[in-house]
Parts: sequence; structure tokens; C-alpha cells
Amino acid sequence: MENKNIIITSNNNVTSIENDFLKPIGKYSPFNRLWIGFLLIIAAWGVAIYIRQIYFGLGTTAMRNYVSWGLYISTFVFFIGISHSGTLVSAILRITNKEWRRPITRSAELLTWVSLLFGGIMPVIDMGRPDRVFNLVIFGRLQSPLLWDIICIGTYFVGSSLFLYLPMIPDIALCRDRLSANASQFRKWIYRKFSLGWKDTPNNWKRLEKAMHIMTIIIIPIAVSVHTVVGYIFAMTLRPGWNSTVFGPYFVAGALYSGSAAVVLIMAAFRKMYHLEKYITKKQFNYMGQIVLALTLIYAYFNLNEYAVPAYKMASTEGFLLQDLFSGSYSVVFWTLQFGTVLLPAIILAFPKGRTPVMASIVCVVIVIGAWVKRYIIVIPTLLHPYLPIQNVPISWTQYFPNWVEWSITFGALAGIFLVITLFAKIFPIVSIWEVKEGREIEEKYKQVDNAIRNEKENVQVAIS
Amino acid sequence: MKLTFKNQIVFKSALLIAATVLIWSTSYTRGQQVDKKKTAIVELSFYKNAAGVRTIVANVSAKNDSGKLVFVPGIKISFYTSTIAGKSFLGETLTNEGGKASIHFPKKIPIDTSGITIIAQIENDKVYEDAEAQASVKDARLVLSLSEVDSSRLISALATEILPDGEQKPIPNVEVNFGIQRLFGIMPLSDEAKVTTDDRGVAIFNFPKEIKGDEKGNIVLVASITDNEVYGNVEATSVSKWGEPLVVEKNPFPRALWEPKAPIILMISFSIIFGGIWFTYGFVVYQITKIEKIEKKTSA
Repeated sequence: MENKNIIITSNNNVTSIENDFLKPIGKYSPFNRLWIGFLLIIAAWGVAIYIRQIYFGLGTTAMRNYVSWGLYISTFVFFIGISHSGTLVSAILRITNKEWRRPITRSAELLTWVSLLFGGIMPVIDMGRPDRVFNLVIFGRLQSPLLWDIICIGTYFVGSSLFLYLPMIPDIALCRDRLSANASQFRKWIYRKFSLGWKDTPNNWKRLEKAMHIMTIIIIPIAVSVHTVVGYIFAMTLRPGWNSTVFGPYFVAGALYSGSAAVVLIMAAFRKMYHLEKYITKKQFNYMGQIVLALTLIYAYFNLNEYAVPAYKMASTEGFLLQDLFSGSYSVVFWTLQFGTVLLPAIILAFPKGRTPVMASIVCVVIVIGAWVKRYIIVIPTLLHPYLPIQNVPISWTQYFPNWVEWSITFGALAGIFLVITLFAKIFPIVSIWEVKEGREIEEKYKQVDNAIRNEKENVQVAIS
Repeated sequence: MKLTFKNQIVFKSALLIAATVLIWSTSYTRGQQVDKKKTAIVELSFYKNAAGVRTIVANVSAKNDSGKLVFVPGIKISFYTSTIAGKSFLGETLTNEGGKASIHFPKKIPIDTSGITIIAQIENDKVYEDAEAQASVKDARLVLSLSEVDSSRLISALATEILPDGEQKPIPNVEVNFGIQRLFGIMPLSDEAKVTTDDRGVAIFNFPKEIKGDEKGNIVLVASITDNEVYGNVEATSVSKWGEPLVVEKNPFPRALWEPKAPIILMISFSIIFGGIWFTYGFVVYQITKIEKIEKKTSA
């Protein structure tokens, strides 16, 4: 096997690429410090309020007998949905060998890993006694979708960690070789340990590519299974609105729709902050915009199935829920979501001007927020419309809106996601350097072949004339 | 008579004013009705269980807005005893969701030959008028004894009144119910499991066959005097092996989605899928550990 780093035609080009991606590492501008401080405050506030919630119990939240899965579980489903981004962009585009994927794979994989990490925490936060979470593992019934969920998410998290880590090894080795001189002891230790003694030999590349190839294939069905099982948690509970056979694929489609939009946002954020316009170009936004468009249309199709089919029948209890969604207390939110975050983005993304970096980012912000609110609309109204009314409860318990405790903890978790991403990008390259270099090398080769063909044609024409 | 245009306006205006006054007066009357206190019904019962614990229970009900009699939860009930010496306070408690309020009757309070008067009262409630119920009870005791004569199994219940000096006087002509304790209540031993005590205060009931017990044939026999005007509710229990041993049928689905044990096919499928995935992870990790080994060899 060829040594990947030394066959690039121009050494200046190599150095330039490396410099562009290594430059922001370990450097904290005043804005960076302010941003990290801001996130730390919100995350610390969330942790403090969570400790308070453990001490005083779940009674400090707005959740009661009717709504026992409130904002926390809605956010859990949302975060797990976002975690599909890495799989989609990285694994699928790797398998299909799309060259434009190279500058965005790492940020997508990172988004998967971080959102899974915090998504997995949300159900524990929803528990009144988090110390009993291990009882689910120790005494869990294999027949329970809750146990499937824990196993699937755990498996996906380990898989995502490997999937993120494997392509990082050559880049961590690069950091070890080029940045260790001025790095802190902590970063030196990380670079030394996590580069695994990487020395850019053909044997190392062989091992790495084999491992990456296996993970690329296996991570796709695992990711699909995770969100299917998250859907099963709802669909296997006998409740109006959840009693659906399409919930598994519906959740997968929703996850891909929100996850791909989140990838566009992380692309846009790092492009702007790290001045990566040279690498993350309009081309990436155009292609990602097309992917988001396709997934939005698929998601719209599932929405049609999910609501139009039961609405046609309007069976008793299901009918009350649908009336509440279509024309009742949740109607404004419901229709805003359908038109504002599904139909409108699809229309905008259908035009090339809607897929420019700025427009695509705006549209994807709307999609991501809409996806979060949609999870809320899936979870809460159903819990408020049980088949059997819960008796002897105060009338106020039949309504729900998250209180300050739930908002504090949820935003604390969100701040945690941003914080981990920010700190990650200050320790490791946020773009896969060797993959970009490899892309340039392929580009160079194509150019050389083109030039050779052109020269050959010219020579032939000269000879004929 | 045909009304002129002017008269029509006056007539319509008068109608409008009359309707407004009518609606206003109706709502005003309703408002007045809200201020008026409702009437609640209090019923009182006295219980003495097999362990000799005595309980006073008050049931409170009232008519709701549609005129239906419903239980009243959350209303404070005060309990008293009344003797020649006067009225003494026993305690107070709130009614539960079923409209019931209960307190234990202290053992230290003696019951004389004429009995004791117990009182349950609603006092100074914001919604309900003051109301009370009184009952006069005497202390009684039931003792169960079991015997087998030939092939018959007999349950004898001796009902006695406990006098202040501790002596016991048989209670004749009182109805005793015979039953057995089941999970959700007392099941009568037969449709005619009510026997009146004789002059000796004894009621005898012939225990029927084919009564299921637990796996060893154990049953809890219960004899009770129920809603008696003089003695209230008195109960006695006795454990015997007169029941037919229960044969527990073998579960046709020992492993199922609804049983504690998972179906074998589910366990196999799950193990294959996740075992395969984790084996693959292991292989991938093995590959990357090889990277380090190669380098160590090279370095060496």
C-alpha cells in the first residue's frame, strides 16, 4: 500500500491543508473564552437544578400522574434523532464514495457521538430514583422495549465512539508530531495515548482501513435499529396516537430529517468560526440541502400516514387526540410544524438559491427547532388522552407545560452538547485532515489524467493537420 | 290588534328588558344558592374485628348538582362518646375518597350494661351544614370452634355480651354470617350461611364440601354479626385445613412476552444479533491494537 502522506504532488499544498486545520487547536480567542464560560454557566446551573431535583424529587417538575414523560423524554427522542446525522453523512457517503463528504464527516460523527451521550442521560434525568437505573440492567426483562432501548443505545454509543475514533488516529498522530511542542501536558498525553503509536506505515493503513470499512457497514443497521426501538417504546404502549405500526420507520425518517439538518448547522458553524470556506464550500451545502430536501419529503409522507389514516376513521379515543391536535389546544403548534417546518423548508430547499450556505442554514435551524417541538407533540398530547382517565387527580394534572426546573436541566444538557463539541474542536482537528488530503490527491490525479488526454488529443490533431 | 311601528319597538324593548332581568335574576339566584350550605348525610357504624380492635366508621354522602347522592371526600368528622357523665371527644379525621372517616375506639373506655353512645359530627364546615349521627352499642364477642361429627364438619359460633365486670352473657336471637376469607373479601359459605343464635348464644353451621383452600387446603373461616342495632359489627376468624387443596395448573406458556421468562426464540435472536455486533466491535478493537504492536516491533 502507498504511503498516503507523501504522494501528494505539492508539499506546499500539504502544509497549507495541515496548517489550516491545526491552527485553531489549543488557541482560545476572547470570543471562545466567553462562549465556553457562557456554556459552563448554563451547564453548571442545569447540574445544580438536577441535584435539587434528586433531593426534592420529581414533584419539583411539572410532571404528574398524566404526563410522566415530559420535556425530558421529548428531548431524549430529539437528541437520539440528531445522532443519526453521523451515520447518514459519514457512513452512507463513505460507502457510496462521495468525494464531497471529506470535510464534513468528522463534525457529523462528533455530533452523533455527543448527542447520543446526552440523549442517553435524559431518561435517567426523567427517573425519580436514578440510582435504580442499574436495576433495569440487572433485573430487566428481555421482553421489554425499555431494555431493548438501553441495549441498542449502549451498542450504538460504543459503535459511534469507534466510528468517530478510527479516522481520527492518523490526525491525532499528526497533532502528536506537530503540536506537542507547544501543547499542555494533558494534550500531549492525549495525543500520545490516542495515536496508538501511529507511524503512517502501509501496515497501519491496512489495519485502519479494514477496521473503518467494517464499522462503516455495521453502524448503519445499528443506527436504524436504535431509532426503531425508540419508536417501539411508544408504539408498544397501548395509547391513542402511539398505537401505530409505522412508528419505527416514522421515527427513523424523523431522525434522519432532523439529523441531516443538524449536520448542515454544524458545518455552517465551523465553516464560519474556523474560516474553512476553502474546504466546506457551496458544493457541500448544495448537496446536503438536496439530502435534507429528500428526507423532508420522506418525513412528510410518514406524517401523512401517521395522521391522515387514523383521521379518516376517527375512532373514539384516537379521535379526541386528533381533534386536540387538528383544532384544539395543540392545533396552532401542530399546523405550524406541518407547514412551517416541513412544507416550507421543502419548498425553499427545492430551489438552488435555497441551498446556499446562508439560506440552507436558516432553513435547517427551523427544521431542527421544529423537530424538537414535534417530539413534544408526539409525547405530551397522547399522555393527556389515556384510554382510561386517571381518577381522583386534581384538574391541573390533566394539563402540562414544563416548568423552570425542566427547562433549566434541558438547557443544561443542550449547553453540555455545545460545550463538548467546542472543547473537542480545541483538542482535535474538526476536519479529517488525511481524508481531505486524500481527496486533493485524487483531484490532482484526475487533473493529470485530464491534462494527459488533452495533450494527447492536441498531439493527434497536430499530427493530422 | 295590529301594533304600530312605534308600538312594535316599545314591545320588543320591553321583551328584551324582561329577558335580561330574567337571566340576571336566574344567575343571581344561582349565586345565592352557592352561598347556601349543602346538606350532608352522616351514617355511623361500629366494628370489632377478630383481634378485638374496635373501630368507629362514619360514611358521609350528599347530593351533587344533578341531585345524585355521592360520597363526600375531605370533610372533617369529629367523633364523641356520650355517657351520663357527659360528652367526651374521641378524635377527628377527614373522609377519604369513598366518603369514609374512621378512628379506633380506645380500649380504655369501658362500655357499661346500657351500652355506650357514639356520635359523629360535621361541625362548622364551609360547604356543608352541621350534621350528626348517633349510635348506641354494646360490647360483644364472637368465639369460633370447629368440630367433626361423623362425616360432618361443624362450625360453632358463640356470641356473648361482655359486661363491665368482665363476665360474658350469651346473646340469643342474633344472626351470625359464616364465610371464608378470599383475596378481595369474605365469601359466604353458602346462600343460606346465616344462622340465628339459640338461648345459649350458639349458632352452628354445617361446613359444605368442595370449598377450595390454598395448596395445603388451608382456609380462614369467618363468622360475623353484621349491622346489628345493639352490637354493631363483630367478627371472629379461625384457620383450618378443611379446604380442598388447590391444584395449580401447569402454565401452558412458561415462556412468553407476558411472562417473567422471555421466549427462547427471542433470547436466541437477541443473542445472535447483539453477540454478532459486539464480536465485530471486538474484532475492530483487535485491529487497532495491532497498530500499536506493529509500531512497538518496528521501534524495537
